[in-house]
Amino acid sequence: MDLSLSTETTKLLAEIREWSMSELRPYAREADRTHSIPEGAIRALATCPVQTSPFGGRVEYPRRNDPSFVVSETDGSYVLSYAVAEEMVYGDVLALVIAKGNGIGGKVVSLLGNDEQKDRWAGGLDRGEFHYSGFALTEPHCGSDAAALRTTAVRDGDHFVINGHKQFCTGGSISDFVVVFATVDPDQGSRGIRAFVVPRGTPGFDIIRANETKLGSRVFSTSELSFQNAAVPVENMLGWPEPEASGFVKAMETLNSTRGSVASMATGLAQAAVDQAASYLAKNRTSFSVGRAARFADELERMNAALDTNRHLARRVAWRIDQGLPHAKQASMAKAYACPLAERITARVLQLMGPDGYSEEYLVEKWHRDLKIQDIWEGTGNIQRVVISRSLATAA
Amino acid sequence: MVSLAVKSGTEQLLGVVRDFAESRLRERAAESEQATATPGELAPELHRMGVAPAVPAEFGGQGEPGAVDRLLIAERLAYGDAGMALELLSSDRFAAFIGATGSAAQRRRYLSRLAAEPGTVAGVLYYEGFGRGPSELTARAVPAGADWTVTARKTTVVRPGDADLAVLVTGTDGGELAAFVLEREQLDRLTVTRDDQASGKLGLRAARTGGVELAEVRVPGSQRLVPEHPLALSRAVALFRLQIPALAVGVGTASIDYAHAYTSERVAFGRPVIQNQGVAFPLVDATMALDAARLDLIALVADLDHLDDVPEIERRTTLVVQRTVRAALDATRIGVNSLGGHGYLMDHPVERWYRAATTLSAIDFDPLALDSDVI
Repeated sequence: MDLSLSTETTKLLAEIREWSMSELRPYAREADRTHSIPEGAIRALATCPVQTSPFGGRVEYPRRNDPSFVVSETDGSYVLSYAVAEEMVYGDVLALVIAKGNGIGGKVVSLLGNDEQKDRWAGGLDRGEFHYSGFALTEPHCGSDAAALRTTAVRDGDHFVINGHKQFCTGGSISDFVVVFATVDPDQGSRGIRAFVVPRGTPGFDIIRANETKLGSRVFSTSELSFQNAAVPVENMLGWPEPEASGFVKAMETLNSTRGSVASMATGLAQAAVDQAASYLAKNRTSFSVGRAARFADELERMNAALDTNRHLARRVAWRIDQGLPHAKQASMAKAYACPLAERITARVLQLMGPDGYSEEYLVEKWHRDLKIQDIWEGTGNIQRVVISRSLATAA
Repeated sequence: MVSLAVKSGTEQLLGVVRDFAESRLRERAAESEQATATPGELAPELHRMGVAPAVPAEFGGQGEPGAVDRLLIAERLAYGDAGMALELLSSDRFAAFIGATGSAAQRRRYLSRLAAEPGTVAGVLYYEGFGRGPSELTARAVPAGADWTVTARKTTVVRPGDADLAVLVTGTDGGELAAFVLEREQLDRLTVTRDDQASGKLGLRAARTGGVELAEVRVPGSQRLVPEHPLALSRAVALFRLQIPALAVGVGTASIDYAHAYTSERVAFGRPVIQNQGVAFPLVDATMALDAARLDLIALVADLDHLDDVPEIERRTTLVVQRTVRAALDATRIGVNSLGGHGYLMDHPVERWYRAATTLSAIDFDPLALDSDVI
């Protein structure tokens, strides 16, 4: 057994970190203040060492003419993807929104769609025809209890007519299409829920709030959406003409593969804070008493060790996905363990830096805010614990 | 003798303060954060109520609450908004410091002014960051004939650019703690090294704060605070430091109360969210921790009158500060978590309290005073 990454991957990750530091981080504060993506950050993407989104998906090794660049034959694509996600977020959460082919919507299409749908929508993301795909599941009255959704889809000839209200739709306002979950038969509970591709511009599909005002990760658009008699062709129901009745449950399983990357992202942010603190300590060593400087350094060392634990948990999930093994429990464990730990580390870094920690002259306060969502989205910590507790008796 | 009985007058006062916090501070908290300023009409209202600055009747005020009551007032104001509370109580901290350490002449001069001139901006310049306690301050006061020359860099100074009066806490070359009143003449020589309103800060945004520097500023000897009791200065500094944890308890309590109400109303999986132990137990744990922290604060205030050792006063104070703000940090984190995704939105105040508690936790943080249990 081995949890270390290959030499080739390590080398690639170093390139990505350098890119995220030099090309993304300079835009971090601006993006946070304006809640929008700076033009320069979008242009910076062109120079990113990887060109496919690592967030919850597969990343293939870049192909280069450079003979010195060696493609790893050992690390699987999810292992690579998680590690890349960490390094990109290390620069800033901006990476979450500028990477090509982003958004969970495309992944749901890949999971539930028929071949034609996969080619048109998920393939469109891969080919660069679409930039972003949204995922509209949560409603104002229901989050963790997603099966209690009230949005309806009613058949009307060759169309389904969708009515409802969605909240926390990731990338809703910037998406080329949104995968909307709605019930076709409320009496059937979760078995009555289907997923529909709703393209931007569909009449009756309105954006109520383009980007909800949030504690952090502000550049990452989460939208409040309204559907009032929004009609989409029946072919837009994922799995048409024979969608699986268990499609909703299956869609929820999509999150098993993305949850692990949440652990990686949390680790990337916390690592950025720890490294910032190390640099701060080096610069201000004489301002601290000898004892406090030593404690500061000691805490940073232990934080680094703890972040390695996070990585190991995430890497196990990624490896299991790459091997086609069950990974729900491991994904929940990685997320439930890594996110609060990253939060505690960042909060402590902020304290160690004192008034400089809470000042916007440094990014630690921002990372502290950005991080908080990681323990909430894609299933709250409590939901992860429910998943884990139910799986404790199983071997996988 | 153990007694946690609250005098009826105090009960009444705290009730009034809590009403004020809920009706005047809470309702304007979001807007004040956005504006990064405390509404100007609030300080005169507190002054009229005799809450802040609290000045003894002999100097023209409406009376002075005890040290514990002052902390409970801070907690209750922070229940409305900690940023506004920090700013609104600044002149009261000055008044408390002068009351505890000033000579009769100094008390008359400064407290009478605070009572007579409601718009007086006053504060205490104590914090330096880097985990320093009172015995480690780098601010220095050097004798210059009958006067003193002071040099200092201070952080978390309320209204750093426009104070009319301030107490500056320093060390001396002899290793003593010293304090001076700075008046207009000295404050005109103060440089603002960081204006948090301009550069931005995580939380407490309604409080206008910043960092300041004083470089070899001459202060008349008559403005040095030389209390009769040798420990009075250490005790006054300790009481000043306890304001931050008192504010933190208020913030934490606000968050838990809000989260409790929210989770009692919101239904998921067919029942109120609070009926899940995974939600209820952390809220209960946070409530207990805050309750215990409040008792720690009260106990320390009582003990300060009996502790006769300067290092012990400093050590006990530092421990209580750390333990209390930690309880508030946990409480506000749990507050956000209890609301799930909604807790992350600015539509609900729990995110503001989370930022406020974190900011409070960094003001007087000493890594040496805590168990190293971040991991």
